[in-house]
Amino acid sequence: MGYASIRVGSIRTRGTACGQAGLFLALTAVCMAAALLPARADTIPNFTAEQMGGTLRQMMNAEPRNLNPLTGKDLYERLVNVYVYERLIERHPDTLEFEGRLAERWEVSPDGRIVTFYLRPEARFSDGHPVTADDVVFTYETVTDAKIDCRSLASYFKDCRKCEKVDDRTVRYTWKEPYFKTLEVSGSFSPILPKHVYEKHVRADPESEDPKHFNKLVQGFIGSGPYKFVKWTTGQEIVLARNENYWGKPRAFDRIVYRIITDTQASVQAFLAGELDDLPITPEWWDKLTDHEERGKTFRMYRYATPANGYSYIGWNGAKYRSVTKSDGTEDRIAEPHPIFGDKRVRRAMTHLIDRKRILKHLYYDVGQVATGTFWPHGPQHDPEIQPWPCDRAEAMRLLKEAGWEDRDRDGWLEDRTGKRFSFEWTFSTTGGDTRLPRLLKEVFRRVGIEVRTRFIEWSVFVLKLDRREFDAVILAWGGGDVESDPYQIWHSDQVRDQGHNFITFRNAEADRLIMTARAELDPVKRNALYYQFHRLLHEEQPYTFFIARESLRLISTRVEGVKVRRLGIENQEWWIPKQKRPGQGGQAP
Amino acid sequence: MKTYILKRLLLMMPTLVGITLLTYAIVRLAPGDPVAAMIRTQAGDINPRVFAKEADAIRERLGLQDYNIWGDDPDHIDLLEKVLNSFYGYGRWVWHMLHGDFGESMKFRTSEGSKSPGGLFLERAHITIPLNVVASIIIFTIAIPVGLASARYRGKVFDRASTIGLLLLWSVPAILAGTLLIGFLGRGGIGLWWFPAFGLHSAGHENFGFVRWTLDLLWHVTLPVVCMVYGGLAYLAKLGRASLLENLRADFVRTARAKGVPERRVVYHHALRNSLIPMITVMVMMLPALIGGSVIVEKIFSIHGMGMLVVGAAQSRDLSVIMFGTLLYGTLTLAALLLADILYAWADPRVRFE
Amino acid sequence: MSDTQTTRPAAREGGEPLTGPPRTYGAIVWGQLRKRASAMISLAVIIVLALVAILAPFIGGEVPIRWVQAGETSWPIFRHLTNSEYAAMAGFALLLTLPLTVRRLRPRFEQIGASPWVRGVLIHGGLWLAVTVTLAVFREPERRYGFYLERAHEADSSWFPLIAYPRHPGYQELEIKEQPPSWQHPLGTGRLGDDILIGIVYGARTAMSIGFVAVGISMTIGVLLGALSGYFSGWIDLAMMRIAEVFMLIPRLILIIIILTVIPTWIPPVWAVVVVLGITGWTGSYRMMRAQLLQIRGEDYMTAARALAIPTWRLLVRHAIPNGLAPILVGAAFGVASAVFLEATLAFLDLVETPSWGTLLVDGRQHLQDLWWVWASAGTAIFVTVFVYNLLGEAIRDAIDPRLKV
Repeated sequence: MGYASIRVGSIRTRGTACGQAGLFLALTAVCMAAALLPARADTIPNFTAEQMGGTLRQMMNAEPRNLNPLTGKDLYERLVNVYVYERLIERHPDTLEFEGRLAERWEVSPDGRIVTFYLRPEARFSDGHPVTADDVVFTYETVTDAKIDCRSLASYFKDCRKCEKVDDRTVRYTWKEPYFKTLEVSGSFSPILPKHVYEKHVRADPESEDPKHFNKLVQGFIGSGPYKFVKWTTGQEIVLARNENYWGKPRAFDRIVYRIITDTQASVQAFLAGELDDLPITPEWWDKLTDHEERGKTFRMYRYATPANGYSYIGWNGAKYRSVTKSDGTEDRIAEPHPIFGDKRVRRAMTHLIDRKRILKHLYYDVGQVATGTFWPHGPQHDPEIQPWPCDRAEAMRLLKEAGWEDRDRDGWLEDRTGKRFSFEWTFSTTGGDTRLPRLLKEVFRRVGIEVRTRFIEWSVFVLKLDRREFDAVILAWGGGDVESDPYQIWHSDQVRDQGHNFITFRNAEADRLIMTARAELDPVKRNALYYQFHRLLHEEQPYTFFIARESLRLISTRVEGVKVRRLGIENQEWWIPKQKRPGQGGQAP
Repeated sequence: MKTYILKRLLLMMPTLVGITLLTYAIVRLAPGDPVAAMIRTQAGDINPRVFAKEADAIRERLGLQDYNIWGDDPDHIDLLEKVLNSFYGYGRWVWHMLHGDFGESMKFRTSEGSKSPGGLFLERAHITIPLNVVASIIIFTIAIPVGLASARYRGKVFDRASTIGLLLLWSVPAILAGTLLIGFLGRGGIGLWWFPAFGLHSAGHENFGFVRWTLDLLWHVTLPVVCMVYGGLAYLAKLGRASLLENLRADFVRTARAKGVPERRVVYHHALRNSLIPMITVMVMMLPALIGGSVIVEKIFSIHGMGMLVVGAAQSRDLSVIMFGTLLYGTLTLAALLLADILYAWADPRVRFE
Repeated sequence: MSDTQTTRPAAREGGEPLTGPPRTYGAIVWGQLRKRASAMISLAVIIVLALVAILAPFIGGEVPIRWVQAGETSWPIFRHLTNSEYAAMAGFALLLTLPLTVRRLRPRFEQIGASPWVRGVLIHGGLWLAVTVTLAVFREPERRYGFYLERAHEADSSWFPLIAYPRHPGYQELEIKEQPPSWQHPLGTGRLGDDILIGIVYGARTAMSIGFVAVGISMTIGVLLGALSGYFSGWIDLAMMRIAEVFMLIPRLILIIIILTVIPTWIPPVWAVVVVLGITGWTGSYRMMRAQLLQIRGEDYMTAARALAIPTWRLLVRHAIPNGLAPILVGAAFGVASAVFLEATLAFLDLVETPSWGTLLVDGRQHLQDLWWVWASAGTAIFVTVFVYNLLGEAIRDAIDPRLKV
């Protein structure tokens, strides 16, 4: 699980992992966190004294910006805080059902609007204070405080009316409308912070500390998790140590060290030299190391798919925007159907032209699977019946001809009825670095008579282009999805306006209806039937060419025991290293 | 002398203003919105209005706010307004700078959590400067003797071989050299496992005794230092060679020879001394370079140095860090130029200040 | 290092003494250079590299040179070559023939008291401009994809480039990715099934143009400003020195990174880098030129010329600039070399995506053992080019060393 996020992070920063020209918009950083939750205490074995001890050595290929559990916005922060913080509830890694963590039980009202949690009496923060309802309410208030830099997390709670303390061990969340994710959002989206430590940092009283002081806290946070923060030496390492006051089952390792290694080659070498116990890798390295002589002797290789892996896609912009000056002199932007991609036959044809199987095989070494829709392929919302459109050039040309695109003047390029050439601009971000896919597809389309103008722009400009919808086609990835996700943010036509996430301007009344009905449907069977319908609709419409649902790849040293692959991935906290296999503390100086 | 230095110091001012203003304007006027990009990258689905507010707050804090001067259309800021805004922003930056406030970084923090550019540079200086000092010392101790020897034996095999050899080394791209060093000499690589592949310290180095800690550090820096040294040899050796050659042809050397001074003494006593004078300039001019890390070496060997800070700042357009770096580098270089001239005059009495 | 430079190789041969005395400064330098094997070898290598870059479509690609089908002969490659490729060919040919023109027309020019080199450059420059403008106005290159390789069996006879293989890989080429060197692919294939030799050949274009154009721009700026600054001195000089200091101190890499984010997308990033290098790199040649001017300003022949009312620009062009050029060439050679390195650095930092030696090297280095032919080829290409320029720079530096004449 930690792995998923590293790798996704590595896509954004290095672009080598899955190779969407490096673009990655976290669907929600928080969903990612949900998928990263540590396994429930029950799956943690009872470690014997023999097994306890030692250091788990892991790596990061970049550094977190900060380690503040609320204002920290990147995946590296979550990687660390998974050990330090706990939530009220979380999913069991195999059954995917919610189970209590800080809450021992909970109740959801029949309409789903009121969620009540009963906290565990034994839960303690690492400084010995018990976890109480006050802490939960305090955390909620901090998250929703407009002065605290965690607006993205807060946006999940915008339909939450209140969070109140019933008694010391009981909290109640009240939501405005019925929504199938109220339990999940209330209980598993936010880590619980101790009120007695952080109250003074967020208090709006000008007499005390700066109300925004909390935003400036970077490290040294206190939580209720099995480990506590020890130190962070920028550019070198982050060290965690066992929380001796932990209220649950103790974990095996005394310390957890994240070493920061910026170069991929160096990190693989460090792993092979035995300086790391666990290393997330890219599909290419997976392929190269498959036949490594040490495989099975000093390390094992694991691959698995978690919802957090997300999927990559090519987004075809369904609308073209035109600026119009209104009578009062202000400008207005009017959306018109896109001259090329406004037609679903063209979008289908594009999908037919992209040989996803072959690309998956050659560019990503068959790591992952061809995606067909927006849901997690192993989750309940995904309709397994739907097969990806095959690569079929004849069918693509037929569809294009039907839509009016054919080579009319025998010059090799396709034209529409007015003689305008089939030519579009494909926007990429340079931030990724992997230019193989754009290079390949540009040539592939050229060979069928479609002119692609590739355009590489820097991420900050790219984001603006997305917000203003000024592009024809983009390659991006959604990561950090959830076991069950709500397609509203990406697919509802409400999200076209105001820089919402529906930046390809997908407007479909039927889709809107399905999304809204399913959202309020609390019966999972009925709800998932609606999502099946929605999935099929997306498949027919192809607003995206769904590309590859990615997988996590990991190298784990054979020193480590207790490695299990569960439906939600690999849980580091179940591991131990037997005493005789522990490397001497410290390095191998000459 | 004093007036000369004063004059030079005064002339530094317009230059510094020029560099900082130019850099500031380029960063500010570039299209795209770094603040929005920073937030949007991780923000997920955020209410656009809330998002705009948050972005505005950050801009305000960092002095990146674009004000609407004409006030016609609040969402539209034209180029002239942008230019005026960046002048205003620059003035603000100068004002704060004169009060010792360099702003805060948008992207980076130190281990202690400080976001001030000064703190960031200082933290990395602890790594970059020692590394560069070691590399420079090695460059000097190898290149100068080689250069002098090839002047002494001009036209002989040693001269030719060393010139060509150093030129060859100079022509090896650092990316390739670093990769090969790590791959063939680094632990876990495909060759000899002699040196570590990343970082500056082994795990658990804080528990080492002084000797072991130092040895461990030296062991870690070997490959990066080799990577930094090999390309710099040619230039310095060439300079040493040219300088000694010039002196060997000088009249005083001829006189000394004519007097019957032994050749060894002519070379080592008379010529060598004088030919070291130009080295002063080179050495002093290397001072500003000491704070600039090598991006390639830092990235390949996972070293937390100045180069990656500056490049990272440029990539995310972290204005305060870019400005601090520019100012620091500019000031140091100008100061080094001045120092070099003064030292030169001090070492060589023939040079006079105008 | 790239602070100074020259426009084109032939200008470096400036003042070649073809007949009799008096030997000009340029002629002396050229004479010295000719004696050096290293200089001649590196010049030859540079010319070969330039040829490779210009003739890349003939070396590797999918468009046939000659194609005979149904008794009809066509020359597809000439229809596919772009206007800039034609312009580059014309420029290269005119550059190589410049010494011939000068030799031919020398007597006539000397009769009218003009510098044959200046006139030669003007004539050839004019010719090149004429060719380029004509092409740009009248010619539209063919851009269609001809499927020539797939249809090769339909042709009665066809001449393909040396490596008849698509420059950019499609699905078919993917199947033969990452193959070690073989007869079909002398340098192996890359991660997409692209032929590495074709990559190296086309990469020579990027490397050559970055070096030449950047250095050309900075030398032009440096020489002009330096001449003005040195000649007029006074407050103009003072102000220009400050400007030069600003450009000397401005952090180039930062500037390039930011400019790359700024440029409108129709400008290829490589050209943006070239321009930034050009407009920031002129301080070295500026200072050299200025020093040169400060020195000759006071000489007797200048005073005499002023008395004779010979225009200032003429003096600058005839005396000052040619004499100041040789030292600038040293910096020019080193400048080209460092531009090649810089391109690799930018690729390393994921800043440019144009297929180039840098991107190949960065691609290959991730797979030290499995793709050794990728990094080895790109590394060797960079290494040889940089070495050759450094060697040439050193040779010119030695050749202009006044002590050698003693």
